[in-house]
Amino acid sequence: MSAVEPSPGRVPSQSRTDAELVAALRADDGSALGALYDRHGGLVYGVALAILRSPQEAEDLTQEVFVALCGHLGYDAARGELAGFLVTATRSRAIDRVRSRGRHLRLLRRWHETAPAGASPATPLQNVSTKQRTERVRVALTELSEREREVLELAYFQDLTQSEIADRLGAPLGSVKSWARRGLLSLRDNLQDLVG
Amino acid sequence: MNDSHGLIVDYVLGDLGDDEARAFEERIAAEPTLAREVERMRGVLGLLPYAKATEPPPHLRAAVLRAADTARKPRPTRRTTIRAAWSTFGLAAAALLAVALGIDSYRVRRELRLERTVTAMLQEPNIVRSFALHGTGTASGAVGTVALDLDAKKGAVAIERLPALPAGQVYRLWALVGENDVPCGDFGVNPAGKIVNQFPIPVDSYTAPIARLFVTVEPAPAPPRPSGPTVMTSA
Repeated sequence: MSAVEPSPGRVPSQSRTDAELVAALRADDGSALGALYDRHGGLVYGVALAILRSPQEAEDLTQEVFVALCGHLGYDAARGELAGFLVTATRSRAIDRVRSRGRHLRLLRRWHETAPAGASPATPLQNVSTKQRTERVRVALTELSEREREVLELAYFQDLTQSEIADRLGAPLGSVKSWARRGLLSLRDNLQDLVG
Repeated sequence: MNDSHGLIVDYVLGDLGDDEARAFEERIAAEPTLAREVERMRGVLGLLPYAKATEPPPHLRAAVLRAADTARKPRPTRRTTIRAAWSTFGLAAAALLAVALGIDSYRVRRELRLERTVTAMLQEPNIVRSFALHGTGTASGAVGTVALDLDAKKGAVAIERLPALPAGQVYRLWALVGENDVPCGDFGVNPAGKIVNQFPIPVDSYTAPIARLFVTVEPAPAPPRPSGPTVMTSA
């Protein structure tokens, strides 16, 4: 038997679904975590980095989220995709950390209001991989003007109100509002098959 | 709908004041088309994290696997394990995960208030598990929190906006433990639609982790297994 062939009865990690890998993880299959990390590590790390803006803190948080996935963090496949679940867990923990730096309430509310798409059950493209979704969103963002993209990212990842963004960019509030609106409408038009 | 997009964007970006947000949420509740568009815009905004996916530094993989391996080793006592897990999990995180299921912001605010209520009832240091409950079916507006202290063998429940029941019926809280539905207690609703109560926990019944908590409507006295419709459930 060739060394690269999987052992009988054992499905290679790459072809196992997230739910199967999580079940394997719970059953103490040490290889499952590596496979899940390879699949979603970039998403967890990237979201942590976008919010915390510190590579060291983002690494710590990524580690914390995956360790929690092995134990207490209650992922249930029936509730939605693992990717969305991990984004929510990462964001909530990142917020806890940002909160401890002193600016919390409004950001907390915004996260509450914007559950990641993958966390809601049964969207039409439920099985779109994180990688494909990342590609789709990046392409959709290229359709936005620099200002439209900047406004949405400042609002979303840096917890700025549209007034604060107007101050930061030295632009009238009316312009900021119309950039935010045009940007979101454009994303909606290009990505609505991903959100149902 | 076009006139509403400015408001929708302000709303999903969290830029409306409390009163404006409340008024807008009333409109959302009354206008299904508007509600769908708000959901779509929220969903689209919720896709932004995917664009941020970033290749982590190569050493992180080994560090994660090592940390997970250490974490899997048995801890000194069950209590320590549960409390450590709880403290990293956090009330806010628990509420956020509930929100990922689609509970709106106003409900979240109520939920956080309820968290504080049950926390106070059990005196915080002893709390080991907390569950957010949301209404379904006839009680879809209901929201609540249950906290369980398995060491002190008591639990606390706080629920709002449950419809009153006809005489002879009660709400019963259940824990799904392994394959078994374990009754936790029967509760009446006060005239304001609230339940705030403590209940003893038969710890011997908890032979497996609690998968889920749920509330059913039952005849009084309630049967040993759920017979009525489920009106609330945890995530």
